[in-house]
Amino acid sequence: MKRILEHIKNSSKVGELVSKSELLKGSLEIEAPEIEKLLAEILSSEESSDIKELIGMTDSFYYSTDYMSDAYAEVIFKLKDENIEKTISDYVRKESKIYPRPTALEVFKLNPFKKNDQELEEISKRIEASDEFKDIQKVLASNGAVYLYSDIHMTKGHARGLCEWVEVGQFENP
Amino acid sequence: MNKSYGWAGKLLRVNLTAGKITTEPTSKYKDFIGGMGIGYKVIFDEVPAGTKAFDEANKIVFAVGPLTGSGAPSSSRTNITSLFPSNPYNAVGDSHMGGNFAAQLKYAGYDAIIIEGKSNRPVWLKIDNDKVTLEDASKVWGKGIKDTTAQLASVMGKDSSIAAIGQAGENMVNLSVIMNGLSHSAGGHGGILGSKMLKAIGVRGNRAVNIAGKGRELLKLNNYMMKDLIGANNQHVVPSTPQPWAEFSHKGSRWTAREGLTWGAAEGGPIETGIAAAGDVNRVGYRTMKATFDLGPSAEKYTVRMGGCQSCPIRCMSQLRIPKLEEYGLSPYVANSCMGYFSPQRVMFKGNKDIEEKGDGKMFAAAIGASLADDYGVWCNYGLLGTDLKHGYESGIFKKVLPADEYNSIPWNLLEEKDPAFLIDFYRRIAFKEGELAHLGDGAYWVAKRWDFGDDYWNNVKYGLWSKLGFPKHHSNETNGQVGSLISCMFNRDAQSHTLVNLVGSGLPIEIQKEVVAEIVGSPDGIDPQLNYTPMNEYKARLAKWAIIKNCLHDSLTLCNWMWPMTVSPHKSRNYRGDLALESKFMTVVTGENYTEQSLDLAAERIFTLHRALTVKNMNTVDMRNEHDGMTDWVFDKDPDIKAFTPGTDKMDREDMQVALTMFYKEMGWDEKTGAPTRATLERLGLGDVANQLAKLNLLPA
Ligand code: SF4
Repeated sequence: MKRILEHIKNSSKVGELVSKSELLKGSLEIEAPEIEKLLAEILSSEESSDIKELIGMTDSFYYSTDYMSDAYAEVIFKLKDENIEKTISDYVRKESKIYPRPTALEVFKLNPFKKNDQELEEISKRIEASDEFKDIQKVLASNGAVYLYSDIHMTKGHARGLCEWVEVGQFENP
Repeated sequence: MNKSYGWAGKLLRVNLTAGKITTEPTSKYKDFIGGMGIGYKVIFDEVPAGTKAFDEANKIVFAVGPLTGSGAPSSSRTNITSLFPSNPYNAVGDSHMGGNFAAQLKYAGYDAIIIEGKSNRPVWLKIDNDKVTLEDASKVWGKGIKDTTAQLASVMGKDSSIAAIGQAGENMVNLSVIMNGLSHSAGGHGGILGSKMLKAIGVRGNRAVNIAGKGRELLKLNNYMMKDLIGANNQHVVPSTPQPWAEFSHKGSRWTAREGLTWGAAEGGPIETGIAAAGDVNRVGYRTMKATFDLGPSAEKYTVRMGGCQSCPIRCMSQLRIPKLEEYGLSPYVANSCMGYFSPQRVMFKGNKDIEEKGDGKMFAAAIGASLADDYGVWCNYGLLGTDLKHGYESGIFKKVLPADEYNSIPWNLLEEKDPAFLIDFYRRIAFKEGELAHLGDGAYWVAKRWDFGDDYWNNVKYGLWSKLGFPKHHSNETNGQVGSLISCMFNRDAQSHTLVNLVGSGLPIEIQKEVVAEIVGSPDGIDPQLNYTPMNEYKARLAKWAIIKNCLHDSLTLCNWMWPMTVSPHKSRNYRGDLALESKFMTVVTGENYTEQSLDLAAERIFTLHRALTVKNMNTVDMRNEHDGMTDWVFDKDPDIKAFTPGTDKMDREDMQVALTMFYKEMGWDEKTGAPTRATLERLGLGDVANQLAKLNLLPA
């Protein structure tokens, strides 16, 4: 059990989820039936209450909340379990709702998304083309930076004002 | 004498006319805590009504507080108080500097220095513990801050701190600084020292600040703050990029540490900031990589390290080594933060050409400009120096008001070509008061009057003039609408208050911010989502009061208001709650007396009300609402196609702002019609003597 726990914690520290399939394949040299039993014990034990499970379509994933936030885990889980357009759109929706703010396209070049310019352009096009994401809109700051927002949660004027502030305004008011 | 805890227990009075140096007990200022509080009290009591900034009768107070030098994080700030020359009434103002000066002053055994009178020859003040002397400064008079600092440090030793003025201060340029440690500047008061022919103050102390707390009490508080509360610069509590440890992130956050980002020119090879997660106390100093935040990605490879003030784990000053600066006749080393780097970019309003690689022009202009301005000791009036240059040039006014010879001698071609070499000529003219153009150094109010700048200047949304008194917005209407606006109306220069903007900019979602505000003022309605403002309410007035008095508290204790108060925390386990009683916990441990958040807030309210009383006295009117607290028109007229209180605009509404002022005056216990402090409020705050003096001057509201 200790080995699995350590593996999950160390992976969380570097921003990775541990998948059940990987453990079952014997990555820790523990037999498959034993893995199932240990995971069940970990999830029910008070002592390892920091370990959480995310159940996907084809696999399950584990992380430690001591080292990884729920929000980050959710994103990397979706990156594994959903298509990228949905992951990005949900990310944008969430930001438009809770902060509220539009999301810089540039964010998707960083961890954990790590998309390059060309990939992002293609993803943007697919988001634009799909009815499923028709609330996702684009807005530009005066320095040309591209932002996305969800019009369910925010008006275009609001989104434009906010991205202008982050890109330009805040540096004029340091 | 009883042992004094926290406070050093005495202050220095230096009379330059008589060449006399005396000490006095600090105890008479205890109700005013220290720093800003001592400054206002001395100026109110001792500087006669009608005095102007450069008059011999004006005084200047360098003051620190009971927490300065105590080891509390971010506690080495010096508060400087005097009449403010760029203000049209020369009404009182504060300037602040970080660095080591404040702590050294305490270690030398002093809580403040009151400078009065005027010397008839250049002198500098040498404070070496108990040995305090006025020394001849003829060898450094006429020199820049760097040379002066080097020469005086060679006399006093490496462990001293030198606060000096440059040529701008000597020449009584209104916009000039006092600076210690070569980059920690206090803007606006350099000319006062120049008028008194006091070139510098050098201080060396090797005593301790006495701490009343037993055993490890102080260390425990420090550890608590470092582990559970502190964020990055400006108390931003989420990282600027998504990171595994963080629930939230925000592109505007100054918590910029991330994988792959380095101090590229560090001795011995690049040092990676890496991920510096919340709670990791040994990596707090890596969190704020301000070089690239201020100057763009080009700055990474020139960054030697992040520096900062004594006793501050945050390190918000980027220290760079840019060899190419030598080609401009400058040292390759430059250090600064925020406005120190931004203001030269404002001067280069045509833009910046690339110097060594694509996109590095901004960094070169910033570094060259900061190096020059910091040596001459030129201040920028929070960026307006560049704005005023732009207006005079682009409107064609300079062609009319500058003699043709002078106009033609200015290398406008360099400005047009976006060449930072323009800055070399520009700052020299300002510092040495060369010609008509140098009046830019008088400050916005004075140049606008002199050169007849019209409404297109005052009401220009791009320029951001906040007040007809000649100062700009500084975390104003864009910072929680009326709340930031109220804060910006209350001082005699740009508001230097970070209490509110740090919460708004913390990076936390609005619901959490609303919960925090509800705990402070009694309702979540005190704060709105950014750029989605609602009409005024009493909770916003309370929040404005809270933000200002915390600021006054920090400038009196002295703590850095870029970091304090600990309104929020980076930890989810604390539900992101900070600890607003932390100042009082430190005060109790350091002084051994029982302080609470409420008792300190009350003292700060006293200090802020004294500032108001002093402003009434300086302006010789009680009508603060109309004569002092007004805003320029752009605040109300911007975004012409949309109404105030529409998402996306921070446009304010004229009537609503009058309501805001009334509600704020009420919160402060000031006269609701005029905004002047009433006798009842002054007496409630123990300022009966102030009320009596105002009554004699016929300056109490009816
Ligand atoms: S945050 Fe910056 S200015 Fe404030 S004390 Fe720290 S280093 Fe100094």
